[in-house]
Order: sequence, then structure tokens, then C-alpha cells
Amino acid sequence: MKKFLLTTVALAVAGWGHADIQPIVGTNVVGFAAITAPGGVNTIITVPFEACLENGAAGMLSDLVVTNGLTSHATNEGDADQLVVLTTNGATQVYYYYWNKTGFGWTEITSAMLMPDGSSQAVTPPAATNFPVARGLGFWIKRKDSGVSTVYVKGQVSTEKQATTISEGLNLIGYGGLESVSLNAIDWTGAYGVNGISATTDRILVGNGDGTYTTYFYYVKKAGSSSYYDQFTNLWVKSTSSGPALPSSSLPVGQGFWYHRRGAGDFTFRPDGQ
Amino acid sequence: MKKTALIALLLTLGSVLSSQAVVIGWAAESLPSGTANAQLVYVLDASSPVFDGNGNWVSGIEALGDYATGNAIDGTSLYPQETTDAATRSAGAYYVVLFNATLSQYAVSTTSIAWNNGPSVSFSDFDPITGYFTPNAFTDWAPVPEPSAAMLLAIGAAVAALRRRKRV
Repeated sequence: MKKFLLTTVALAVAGWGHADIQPIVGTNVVGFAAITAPGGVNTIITVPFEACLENGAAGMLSDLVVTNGLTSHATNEGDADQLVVLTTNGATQVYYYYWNKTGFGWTEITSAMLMPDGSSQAVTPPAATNFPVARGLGFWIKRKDSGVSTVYVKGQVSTEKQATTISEGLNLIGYGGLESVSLNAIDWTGAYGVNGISATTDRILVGNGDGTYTTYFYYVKKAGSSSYYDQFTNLWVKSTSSGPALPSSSLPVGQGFWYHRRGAGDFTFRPDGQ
Repeated sequence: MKKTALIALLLTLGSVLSSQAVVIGWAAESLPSGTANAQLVYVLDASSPVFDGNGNWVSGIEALGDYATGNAIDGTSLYPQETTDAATRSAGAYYVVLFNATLSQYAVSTTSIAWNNGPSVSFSDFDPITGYFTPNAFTDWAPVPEPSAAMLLAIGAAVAALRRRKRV
């Protein structure tokens, strides 16, 4: 009898305590995401997180991409995994390179960029600890090892909606959410398409892990086309040798991609329509 | 500018462009009536591709990838195709060749792109296609030559000889 009473009291206290604990929701939650990165090739990744304890702020590259578990760290850059980040240096787009230096982590590489006029220009990136990468922007990881590896990215889970500005030309971006996503399940207001697939139709290029891409076009049926094409209008489609086809797979968490803006002007990608 | 920067990047990386498979982006507009199939063709000497008397491409010409057909052809437009050329090239050009439904007639684009065309040929994933080679003028339809009568006779004789041998 005594034992029964004690158990009852213990359960009651536990229940009261549990009810008193608030669920962890908010801006101070640290998240991890695992991204598959095949060996020996380049993979576009995107970080769906922000800087820890700084709601809405971009995280630093060294904090966002975890080096633990990446076997290709080395004492020279040629034998190590590398991160390649597309950014702007004034009006020019440049790539910044970082390598996984044993004992140090992501370390910047000074490279020489050959300019169109034949001259050479040194490109020295900021330290990875001082290079902010906004949620939703994409960049490369170049895997040195031949085996498939998992890359972990981390940061603060955001409760805010993500928006990314897409400029004319090539943009490296990604979906900054924590779940895999179908291209046609998110809001693409502002994407441009006309006349079926034309020279100004926007494109998305998703890497296949072997140096090739699957290209998706923002399809808008052209006047006079048969009703067969109705099913594709205002959707992203592949253009196969037998005609347009809807995407057959979702983008996994952390998968980045090229957005090739061919329509006129910039637009802001708001995947949730907010 | 962006494309230039990307090409500069490629050079910076020291990529050996001619040793890799490339991806060619192509499409077509103003397709002539009767077009039912299209194919990308590589020509070593960059001249307009031609068939030999047996309906095969002459030496130095290679058809690449599958025929684009069916709903890939929407009215007078052929929607964009991306074809991989696994061979190492250092010269030549790519053409679009059209065929009718029975593959008995063909027409060739009057323009071509060089093997190393910047916008339409991708040498690496850092340098994706930014434009599709889209010819909009083609030669008149011409018949695809059929295997010569002599060739057919030779094949027939070989088959007859084989049958005779089996009987013995």
C-alpha cells in the first residue's frame, strides 16, 4: 500500500514537473544537418542555419561547416577537402577557396585569377572565421577522398522566413529549410517563363554528383500549343528527349543549386510565399 | 561578365578542358514541316554533315545521344536538350540534324557551334551551360541514302551460302 502511494506521488510530481517545462522552441536551438557529398567530385551545399545567438544573422563559414568526420584534412591544400564560395569582389564575381588544414580547420587559399585582358589578379579571401554566409546561399565542397562522405552543417535554427535575392545570371542558392523539398511545392513567384521553354526561361541546375546537372525550366505554355502541355504550365520541368517531364525527386536538406536567372531583373525567392 | 569570371576561374583551377567529357546544350526553332526527330551531330572538319551512299555518316562525323522526338517538339520549336559528348575534342563543330518520322529524310542546320563554344558547351560543373545552341534555319529535306543494291546482293549471297553449308 505504502509503495503504491509513493509511486502515485512520484508520478504526480513528475507530471507536474513535465507540464512546467516549456518545449524548446525559439531562436536559440542549435541544429545539425547531414549532407551526402560523393568523393572526388564537387557538391553544391547550402546551410539552412544562421549564426548562433544572433537571430537573422549570417553564420561564419568556419562555424557553419563542420570539419569533424571529413577525412581529407591535410597539411597541404592539394590533398584536402575544399570549400569554394562564389562571392563578389567589387563588381566582379570571384570564388573564394578554403581548405581543411589539419589541426586548423577551414583555411583560406590565395589564388591567382586570370583576367579577360590576360593579367593576373591575386584573390585573397577573408579568414573563414570572418566570412559570413547567409542562410540560403549555396557554395561548393570539393571532396578529395574517393568515398562518399557525410558533411555536417550546423547553426541556429531559424524561426523566421527565409528570402534570397536572385540576380540576373547565375546564382548559387539553396532552400534554407530543414526538410527536403519538392521544387514545385514551394512558392516561386517571380520566376520567369514564356513560350514553353524559350531563351529567356529561368533555369535551375541541380548537380548529379558526377559533374553533370539535371536542368529544370520554369515552364509556361505557349499560345497554340496542344492541351497536352497544360499539365506543366507554371511548374519546373525537365526537358527530356521525349518532352517535358515533372521532377521525379525532392531536393534533400542542404542541397544547393544554380539558379540561372534569364528573365529580366532581380527577384526575391520566398519559398514559403511570405 | 559572370561567364567571363567563371571561365577565368576554370583557367585558375588549371582545368584540362580538352580531356573531359563535355555537355552541349542545344535546341531548335522554325522547324520545317514534317520534322519528327532531331539529333546533335559532331563533325571533325566542321563542314556540313553528309551521309555516305549506305546511309551512314561519313568518316569524322558522329551522331550523339538519342533522337529528340515526340513532345520535345512543340509546334515549330524543339525544346532544349543537353547531350554529353564523352570524346576528347580539340577541333570540329556541332550541328543539329532533323529527320522526318521514318528517318528517310533529313535536313541540317545552316549554322553550327565550335567544339569549345563558351555559352553552349560545358566543360565542368563550375562552368554550366548558359545558352543553348538554337539554329532556326535548315537545309531542304534530302533523302537518307539507302544501302546500295550491291551491298544487298552481297548480303543475300552470304546468307544463301550459309544455308547451303548448313544443309551439307
